[in-house]
This record gives sequence, structure tokens and C-alpha cells, in this order.
Amino acid sequence: MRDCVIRSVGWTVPEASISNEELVEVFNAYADRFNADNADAIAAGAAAEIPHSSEKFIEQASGILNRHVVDKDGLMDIDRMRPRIPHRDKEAMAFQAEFGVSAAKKALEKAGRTADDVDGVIVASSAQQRNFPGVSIEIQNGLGMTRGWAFDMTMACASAIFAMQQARELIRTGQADAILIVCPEIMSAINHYRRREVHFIFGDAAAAILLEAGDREAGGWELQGVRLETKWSNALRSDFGFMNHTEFEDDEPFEAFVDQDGHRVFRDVIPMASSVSSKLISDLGYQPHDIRRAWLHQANIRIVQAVAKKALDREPTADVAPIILNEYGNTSSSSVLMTFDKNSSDMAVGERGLLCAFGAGYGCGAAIIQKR
Amino acid sequence: MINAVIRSTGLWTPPDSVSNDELVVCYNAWVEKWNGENADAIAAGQLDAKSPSSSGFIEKASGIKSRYSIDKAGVLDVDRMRPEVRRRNDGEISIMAEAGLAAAREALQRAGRDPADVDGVICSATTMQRTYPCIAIEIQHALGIDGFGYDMSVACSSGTFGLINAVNSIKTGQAKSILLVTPEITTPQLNFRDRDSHFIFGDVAVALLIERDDMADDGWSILDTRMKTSYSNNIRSNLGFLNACENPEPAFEDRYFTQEGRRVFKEVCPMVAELILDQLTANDLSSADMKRLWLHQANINMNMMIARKVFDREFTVEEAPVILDEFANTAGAGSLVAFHRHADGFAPGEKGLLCSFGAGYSIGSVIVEKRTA
Repeated sequence: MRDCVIRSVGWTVPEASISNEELVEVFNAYADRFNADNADAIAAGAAAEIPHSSEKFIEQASGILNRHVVDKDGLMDIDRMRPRIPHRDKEAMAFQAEFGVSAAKKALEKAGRTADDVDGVIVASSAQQRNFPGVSIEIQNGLGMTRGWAFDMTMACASAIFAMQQARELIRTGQADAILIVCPEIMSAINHYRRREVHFIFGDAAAAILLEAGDREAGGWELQGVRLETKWSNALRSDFGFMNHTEFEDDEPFEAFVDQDGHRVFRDVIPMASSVSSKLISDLGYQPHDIRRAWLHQANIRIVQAVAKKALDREPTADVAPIILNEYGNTSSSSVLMTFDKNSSDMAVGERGLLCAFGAGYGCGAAIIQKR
Repeated sequence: MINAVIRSTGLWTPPDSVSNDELVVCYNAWVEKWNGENADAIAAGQLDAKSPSSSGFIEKASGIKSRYSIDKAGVLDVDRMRPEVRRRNDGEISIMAEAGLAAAREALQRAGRDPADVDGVICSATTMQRTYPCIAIEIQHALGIDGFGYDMSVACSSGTFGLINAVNSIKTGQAKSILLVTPEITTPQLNFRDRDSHFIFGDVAVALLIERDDMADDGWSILDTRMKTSYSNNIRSNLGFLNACENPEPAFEDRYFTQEGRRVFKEVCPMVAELILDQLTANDLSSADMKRLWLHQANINMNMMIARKVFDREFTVEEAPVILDEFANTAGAGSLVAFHRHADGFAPGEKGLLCSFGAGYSIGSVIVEKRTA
């Protein structure tokens, strides 16, 4: 069966960014107002006081210093604290499709390919902007593809690796020669900016990766193997969905957004991600030291370092396990692709790396690639 | 290369079915109420009076006679006209996972398989009940499967595209056995106050067990698969996670299902027939080799048109079975439910074709061959 190769990665982030200092300022102002408005109930024990957030808490908990967002004003508005995105007519390209197209175009340009070279588009992200038509099909159209297929899939933060497995199978079985995986993540619209435990976590980014049959051209990275595992957990949840409005206690939809038990996630995900990575490394007949670098999902600096240390059996220096979450926050499925793209140009032919993404589900996907 | 086979299928339906007559009584009661409340504006020409619906109109337009719904009472309550479900806490299984699980269990049981034999679960449906965790992982967990799962969506082609992904995972050795689950809870996505679409959808879940061909002698071999998409706004549902951020925030009616039925009919039928004929030719087959077409169940007139073009002759209902009369349009599940219900009477070596089509536009087509009886 023929090889599947990573040809290029393209990505983009919105221009606007929010520092921890700015985020804490609006959160604390909201907390103060809530606590004052509910002073009697809090005193009577009927409502819980909202504690302040702080830059130190955020940095210690996550390593995040900054995040890029599609709408800073809406998030910094104490009366709103969610993005404000102009409603678009159906004839205009959807916001998420547009975001994805800009990343996909960069990937194509870097590879010297045009839309005509692509057989299929997979949108793999935490959530799609609408039920149908598929955002992937709109991206296929937006790129100017006149043939082929597209579909949407979701596997939270691990979506990119799960899609790479599907794309690899389609290429290896000869059903496609080139597939674009697009991860347009508008996490600021899913995050809950009034929950202290999560308000700092996410950032917005779109990334795209072009996979091709290896015989088309030299270069790129051989995708040598992928391993996927999932294991049910309620510790990371977002209940927003098409049935909310049918439920008895019809919440404000905003309340259905991200909620997590961070300590539990930390405890469960590190062994899972390192074990999936280790199994893949040994399945392919390698030792940890055969793998030069680990590009890991950027959820949390301590998780990244712990997984890299276990899977690659050495100190997780910046060379072994590069970090980008300080600047971008957790950008969900796009983060592993961005980390790879920003930290791979120094690698020599024959060197290998591990891509590993993990998150809600729990879902974990790992891939071993080798520079050609 | 290893091939993949469909070993078995399973189905779940809600206990309650809603007939056209019942649906029309509720719709017309609402129309009467609405026209009464807006009588002055209607008389002044500021609003158009709403027209009543009828069972005759529905059946003629679609071929649909009834549909299953997760909550008949809510759908038929003139003051609500949408399903009403109890909110479940995080410790309880979700409605979509529960529906999918029942279908998956039936598929396993019909194949005589244990969940321990399965490596992965693909949940492929028009939309998922929540952002995360994945519905597939919840089904995997409920079955006790050690492996992987993920969710995917391609509207009415969700079932066939999911089947194709499962087949690829088996062909490349990534898995030996995969459960494809398509739980379509569509009635919450309908605007039951829209005369043009209130009758269209029904709820169902279907599951297929896809295995490596050397695991058993029976089932259906996969001979060829095709996927095609071509962007169109003619079938649309805007509901999504950005709604709460949109300015202005869209109204209920603008989030849920809408379609330009005539344009869909005109554009999709020739696309589907052309793809099927092209696929058959590419496989050195012709429509004469196809004993049966299990088509997506959206509209009887579309299926008649497509089947006539493919067969290029008159054909019998056995050759293009209909389930939409009982189930209505079950989105991504339709062609798989038709296969589940009407896979009998095949001798080893006889062939058929599953084909879905719909929003996107999307078309998924799979040629299958009966193995030993």
C-alpha cells in the first residue's frame, strides 16, 4: 500500500489578542458586580461568592499568557463577555468556513498546489457552525474545488489526528491522492468567560494540513502510523446542541458551554496520552530515543511536559516538547498542527517526531512522522 | 488487500408514531388560532393568512404517511409543537447515545458478536446532541468497547459516508470490526409551524456492523464506494454554537431546517443518477447487475425519478424499496434503514447499491454483493 505524506501546514490567528491582565480585569469586575448585586443571598448562604481570578493563578494553572480572539470587544464587555459576530446572510460565506479557507489557502500555497489538486476536504474541529450544509463543503466550494467530496467530523481537541487517520486510509486505499484537513476553531464562542476555572483557557485559530500520496513528489513527512483511543469521561463537557430547546429546563444556551473538572482531566489525560504514544512508538518498532521531538496538543504546559517526558523518556526541554500555548492559549484541534509548523524546520531528513492530541471524550490520537 | 463486509444491521424506533392526519389536525388548529389572532392585520393586507395543510397534500408531495417521534405529545401540542424531553444529568446516557446503543446492540446480536469483538464506533449523523464528549464515545462506553470512537456529519449522507470511513479503517488494517451508528433525532430540528416542511422528518437509529472479510462467511462484500459533495444553500439548518454570539441573534425559525424543495429535486436527481451510472461503468457493471437500489428516503418522487434513470425501464418496488411511508425522511439513516428492512431474497453473488443524497449537496454510494446465505 502506498505511503501517505504530510505536504504542508498553514494556519492563521485573528489579529486581536487578550492578555491575562485584560482578561482578569473584566472577570474581576464581573465578579465584584455579581457579589455586590447578590450580597444578601451570599450572606444568607443562598448564593456562592465568585472569587477573583488573577494573572498568577492563570499562569500557574496553565502557562497561558495571551490568546487571539475573533472579537475582543464582546469578550471585554462586562455585560456580554462573549464574542459579537455579525450575522451573515446565507449567500455570504459562513464565518467558520471563511476562517478555514484562509488557513487552507496557506497550506496549498506552501505546497505549491492549487484547489484542483485536492480530492477531498475534512473539517475536523470541536464544533461546526451549523447543521448543514457541511462547513467542509462550503470550504471545498470556497477554495474553488470543482470536484471531490467533503465531510465534517468532531473529536474535540484531538480532531486533527483523528481526521489524519481517515485521510491516510483514503490515500492508502487509492480513493484520494490529496486531502486537506481543516481545523477552524472559534473557541471563544464555546468558552464560558464567567467561569473562573475556564475563562482563560481557549484561543481562536484555524489550521490546515495537506496530506498526499507519497509518490507525487519528494519531500514532506511520511505519516508512518496513527493510533486512536477514546475513553468516556464527563470531566470535560459542552452540552450545547440541537436539543437544548426541547428540554424541560431550557437554559440560556450560553450556560451550555464549556465546563471542566481540571484536576481530574489532568490526572486522567497524562497517563492516557503517554500510553497511546508509547504504544504507537513500540508498534512501529521504535524506541523513545528514535523520536526527536513531540508536538503535543497545547492544553496546559504541565500536561505537555508530563506527556513528553513519559512518552519520550527524557527531560521535556523546549527542543523536545515545544510550547506555543503561552501566546495562543489552547486552540483545540488546530494547536498540534500549529506547534508542528512553528517547530519543525530545523529537523533533518530521516528524523522522526510524534504528534499527539488529546482532550474531551476523552479522545487521544497519536501519529509518528518522519522527515523525507 | 483485506476487504470489508457488512455483517449485520440493527434498528431502533421510538415507541410513538405520528400519522399525517394527527399532524394535520394540530397544524390546522395552530393555523386557525394564528389567523384569528392576526385577523385585523390579515384583513388590512399587512399579513397573509396561513393556509391549512392536508394529509392528501403531504402524501402527494412526499409519499410520507407517518413518522416516529421521540415525543409525540410535544409535537401535537398546539401551544408547543416541538418535542419535549426531560433534561438528563451528566451521569445519565444522552438520548442520541441511547437510541444509537439500542440499534448497535441489535446489530451485534444479529451477528452473534460481543462488544469485545469491536474495535471502534463511528457515530455519523446530521448533528450531535452536544459539542463534547462525542456521542460515539458514550456509545462505546455503554457497550464496554476498548478502542476508539468519533463523530462525523454529512447531513443525509452521514450513514453512507460513515460506512465508507469504516470500510477504509478495515481495509488498511486499522481495525478489524467497527460499529457504524446513525442515530437521527430529527424532529427537534423541524419547525412544525412551517407548512412546507412540518411533515418531512422522523426519528430513528440504525447501526451497521462492518467487519474484516475473513471473520465470517456471511454478510455483504463491499465492491466499491463513492463520495461526492457540491455546495448548495438549498437545504439548510443554521443552528450552531455561534448562534449565541451572532448579532442579531437568529430567531428559532431561522436556525432550523429550510429547503427549496423544487430546486433540490431538479438539481439532485440528475446528479445522483449520473454518479450511480458512472460508478457502475467504472466497475464493469450495469444497472442490470443491480438487484436492488436502497436509496435515501427523502421523497418518493425523487426515488422514482432516480431509479427510473438508473434502470432505464419500469421497475418494481422490490427493486427500489420504500420505507419513507412509515418512517418519513430519517436523514442520514434513510438508505441504511431501507437496507435493514429489505435485504432479503438475495442469492450469493447478487448485487445491490446503497445511495444517499441530500444537504450539502452530498452523495454517498456503495455497491454491495451478497456472500453466502
